Amino acid sequence: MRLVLRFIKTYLTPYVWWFLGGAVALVLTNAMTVAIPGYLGEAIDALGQPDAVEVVLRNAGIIAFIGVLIVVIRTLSRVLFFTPGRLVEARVKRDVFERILLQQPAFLRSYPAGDLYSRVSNDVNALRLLAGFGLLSVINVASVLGLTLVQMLRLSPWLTLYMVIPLAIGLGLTQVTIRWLFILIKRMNEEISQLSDYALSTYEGIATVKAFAAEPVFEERFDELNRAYQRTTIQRAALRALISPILTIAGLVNVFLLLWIGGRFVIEGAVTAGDLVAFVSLVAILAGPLRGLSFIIAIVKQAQASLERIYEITDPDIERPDLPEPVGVPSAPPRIELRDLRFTYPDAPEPALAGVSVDVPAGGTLGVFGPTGAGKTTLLRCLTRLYNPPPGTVFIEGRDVRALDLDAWRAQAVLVPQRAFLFSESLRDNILLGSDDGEALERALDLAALRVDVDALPAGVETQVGESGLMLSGGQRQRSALARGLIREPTVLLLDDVLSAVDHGTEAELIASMRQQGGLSPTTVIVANRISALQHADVILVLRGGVVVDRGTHEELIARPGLYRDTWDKQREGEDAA
Amino acid sequence: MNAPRKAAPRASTDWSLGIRLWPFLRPHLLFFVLALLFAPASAALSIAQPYLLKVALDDHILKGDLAGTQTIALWFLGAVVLSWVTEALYLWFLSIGALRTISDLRTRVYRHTVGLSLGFFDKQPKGRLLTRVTSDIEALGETLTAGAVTIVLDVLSVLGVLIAMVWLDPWLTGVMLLLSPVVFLSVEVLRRILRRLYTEVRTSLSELNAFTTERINGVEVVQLYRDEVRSLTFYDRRLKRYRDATIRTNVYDALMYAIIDGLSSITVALILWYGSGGAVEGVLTAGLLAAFIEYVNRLFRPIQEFSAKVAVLQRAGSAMEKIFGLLDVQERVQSGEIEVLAAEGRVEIEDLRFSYGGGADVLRGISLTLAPGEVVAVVGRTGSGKTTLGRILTRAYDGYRGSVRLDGRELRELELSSARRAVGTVLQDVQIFPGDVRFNLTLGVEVDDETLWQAIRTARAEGAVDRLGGLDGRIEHKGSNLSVGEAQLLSLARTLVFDPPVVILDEATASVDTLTEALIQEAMDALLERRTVLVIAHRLSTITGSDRICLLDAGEVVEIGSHVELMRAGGAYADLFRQQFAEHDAAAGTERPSPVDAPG
Repeated sequence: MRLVLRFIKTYLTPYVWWFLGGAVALVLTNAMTVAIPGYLGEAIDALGQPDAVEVVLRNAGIIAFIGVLIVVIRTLSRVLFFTPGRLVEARVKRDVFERILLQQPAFLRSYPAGDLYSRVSNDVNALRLLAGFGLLSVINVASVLGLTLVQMLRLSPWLTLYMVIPLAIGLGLTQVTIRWLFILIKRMNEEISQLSDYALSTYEGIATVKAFAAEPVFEERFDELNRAYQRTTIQRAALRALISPILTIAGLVNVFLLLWIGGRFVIEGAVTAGDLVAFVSLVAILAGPLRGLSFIIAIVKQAQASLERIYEITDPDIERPDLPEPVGVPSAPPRIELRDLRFTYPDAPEPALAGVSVDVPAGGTLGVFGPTGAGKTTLLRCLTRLYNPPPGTVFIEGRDVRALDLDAWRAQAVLVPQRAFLFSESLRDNILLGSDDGEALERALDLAALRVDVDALPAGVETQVGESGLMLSGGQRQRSALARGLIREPTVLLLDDVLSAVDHGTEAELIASMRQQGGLSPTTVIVANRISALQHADVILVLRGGVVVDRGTHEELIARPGLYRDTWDKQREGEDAA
Repeated sequence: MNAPRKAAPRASTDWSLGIRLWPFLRPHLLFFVLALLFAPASAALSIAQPYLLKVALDDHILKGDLAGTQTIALWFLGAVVLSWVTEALYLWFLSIGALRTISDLRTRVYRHTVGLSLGFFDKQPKGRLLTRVTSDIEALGETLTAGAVTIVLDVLSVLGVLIAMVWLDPWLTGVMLLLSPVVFLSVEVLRRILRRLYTEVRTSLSELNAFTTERINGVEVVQLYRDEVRSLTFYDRRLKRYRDATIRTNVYDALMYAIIDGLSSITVALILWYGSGGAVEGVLTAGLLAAFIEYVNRLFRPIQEFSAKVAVLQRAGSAMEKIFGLLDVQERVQSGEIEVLAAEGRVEIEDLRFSYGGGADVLRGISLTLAPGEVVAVVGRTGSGKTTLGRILTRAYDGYRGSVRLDGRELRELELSSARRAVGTVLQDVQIFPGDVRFNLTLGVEVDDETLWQAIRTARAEGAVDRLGGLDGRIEHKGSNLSVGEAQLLSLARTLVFDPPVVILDEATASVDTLTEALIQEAMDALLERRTVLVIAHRLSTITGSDRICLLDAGEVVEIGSHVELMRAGGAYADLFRQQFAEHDAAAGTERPSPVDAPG
């Protein structure tokens, strides 16, 4: 409940006037709706009396007037409640999304992408339901219940008492069965997500399925999952068919009671026939809001769970490790110095880097070589401060990298990641990312050896790429990502195995052109599995398990036995044989 | 978005789409018939209730007849309980019929899709195909259970109520029907507006969601390239579009709801006004009034829920269009009759020609013979046709011209499954399925453990399998608990389990460390033993062991022979080799080049 109160305080207070207005409109509508049976009863009791025509006409006029008012005021009440619901939805969505974009990888790594996505969508929906429909239902139920009861009590306290019994039983039954319903819905969600995972894995592996003629096996498994899901959906349908009309039925049972007991009261003269008809109408009015009531508890519960998941993302401070007074970043390619750099990922048992020291002169190139899991990528992440290195371990032109202004630093130090990620935008926008420098774009296309590929695309640089656009090949994606990095004219260039999908000729070309880019060459760190990409580095580190096991120039390293020379021999053998 | 334009010719399509659903409905017709049997009963019992109320009031209560009142009251209770039971049965049978239909359709869509040729999958984002078997089918299911078909009961109720009212008092009914043009007009106008708005809400939401997913997946790039502000601006634009659409929808939704609410009150007033004429004479009785008011309530409730049902119906229409659109795709490979039992592995290709979808020929008369046990490497630039050649041999694509014979039998005359198993593939990108190790190796075929372990050992995959916990070890979706190297070893083991006499090797280029690469090379060598192998070479390292090299250019065989022979002949292959060697030398110095392109 604490979370719900906090949500109300932070997100709903700005709309307090909307909600107040909505509540007034709602209570007014309900008061008018509840008043109608009274006028109706009065008209009925006047039937057969001498002043019947006058009374009936007057009451008909009143009821018609109320009907017109209801159209206006009920519309108003729903708009006043649902609009802030939508506004709150948008605000929470934005807050969560913004927080995800700004949170650093150290924080985000504990959440799978699908989970983050569901927090921005499903969990926020639960809050919208609470803010709009939930609040409306609470006030609706309270006012209808209150007003109807007052009206009924005025007509006949005894009959009112009888009316409460079926409604209470109906409400209780609904509460119990709704819990079943939610259990079934949860199971359905699990089953459908299993089913879609399975279908997706078939589609992704379709070449293998076909190559091994395994279609029947996959179809059979899919059928099994599908049948299980079908059984659950039918169960839910049965439950729904049985329980959703319960409150309506309770209302009708009340009509029976009105005939059985109320009939006797009329005959005995305790109430009038008009009162009885009024009761019948009032009972019908009650059913709708009561049905809403049965959902409120579920809505609040769901919202509570969702709030927990949302605050889990938005509450932690954004780990932007700027010092109080960040130091400016040198504008020329800097000297980079690592001093006994150690780094352990949060929750990881072993350090990813266990004491790496190296000195890269301004404009120099550092090569990093080593098997998977050696800590190569971690090294680059520490340099860009995707993960903050411990204090006193990474120095840029003599200043601790942690002291630098992060924004300025990332503008200067460009990391081209191993996995080339393109957004569903034009290739141009993917490379420029918001800037509008056409000349720079042309230059970057040439530098990244992308020109020929771009010319072959249906709309050139304007071609839509990414998930919803044209699928580029692995090599094209890599070179596009490279162009995105090079266009920034970085003073520090960090390449994470980005040349793995280009052939050797292109690779050599790319390395050469990057080094000559715009006069002064950036200080560069190249991570690679292919030695041909490393051989021109000023110094090469051979990493293994986070430790530097060897270092030297290419010539030095191939002169002595070790992983580097073994790999060099092997990779050369492959080429020589041809 | 061009949604409004697309919506125009829909009325007729909806109808024909409905007809296409028929074959899926037919097997479950019994349930629909049962449901329809209960519908009139339920409607009749429901309509009887206000009438009983009238009888009780006018004929018994107002006449002081207690015993009669209580008899009618019991009748009323009976009608209530029975209508509840019959309505529940109606809904239940309807749901069973609908859900079974949907389930069948889902299976059909999945089977149909899996049966399509690889050419089809090359063009389709996998996510879109997934939507067909999940959300599109769900949308249709929602319509069949909650939306469209319950309209049957709604229509019956409305008709029944009208009949009952006319029977009770035709004049009063006539007066009430004066209001109906107002009702229909306002509902229709609002329905049209809402229909457009729902489409807008749906498209803006799916755009917003797609954007969100993509930025979350690429959050590292966003941060590294300081793209946060631009991303948020884009997000805001999409968010605003969605928010505004939902707010506008709410206004009309609220109006729709309120109008119906208000109209039912106005109807009550109208009844009173009509009755006032005969009020003194007793034409209008308390019972009649009460019954009419009840009827009016029952008349308006279905109309009030109508807009929600229309939205559901609309979604189902577009879902069906997409589902049947997919079912209409007939890109499949035709199977022959002859079962391949055991093959020696001789492959004879003669004047092979092929084009994708009627375009220009990609293969232009290729002739090549592979003797049993021979290893032939195919090299050539992107677009030379080497990948296509492999795909023809594995029967991924149909419609080749010329002749491809396996052990003297034409490939297209062979039974498809057996042909595919005779010609195995080792793919560039490894495909691993969620499930256990055993399933990934056998793909459901019965194989004894001994054979499996034999294959695992030969493929050097013991380490990986042991780490996973043996043959029953779990493998997650996309093989996320495997390293790239382990996945490759497993896929090699899979090919060994099937033991095909012919193997098409689409050479792997994934970036793995040297140790793993050595393991993979060993496994590969073991796999190539005693088999006929066609290597689709992207790098030259694998060509080392091949008996012959076949250079393709623009879909034609330019040269063929061993590396030494081709170099000695001094033809195109040698030229290409030397040329690239020189280029590379100039650029990089010492290293030897590769005369073929890398994939991509």
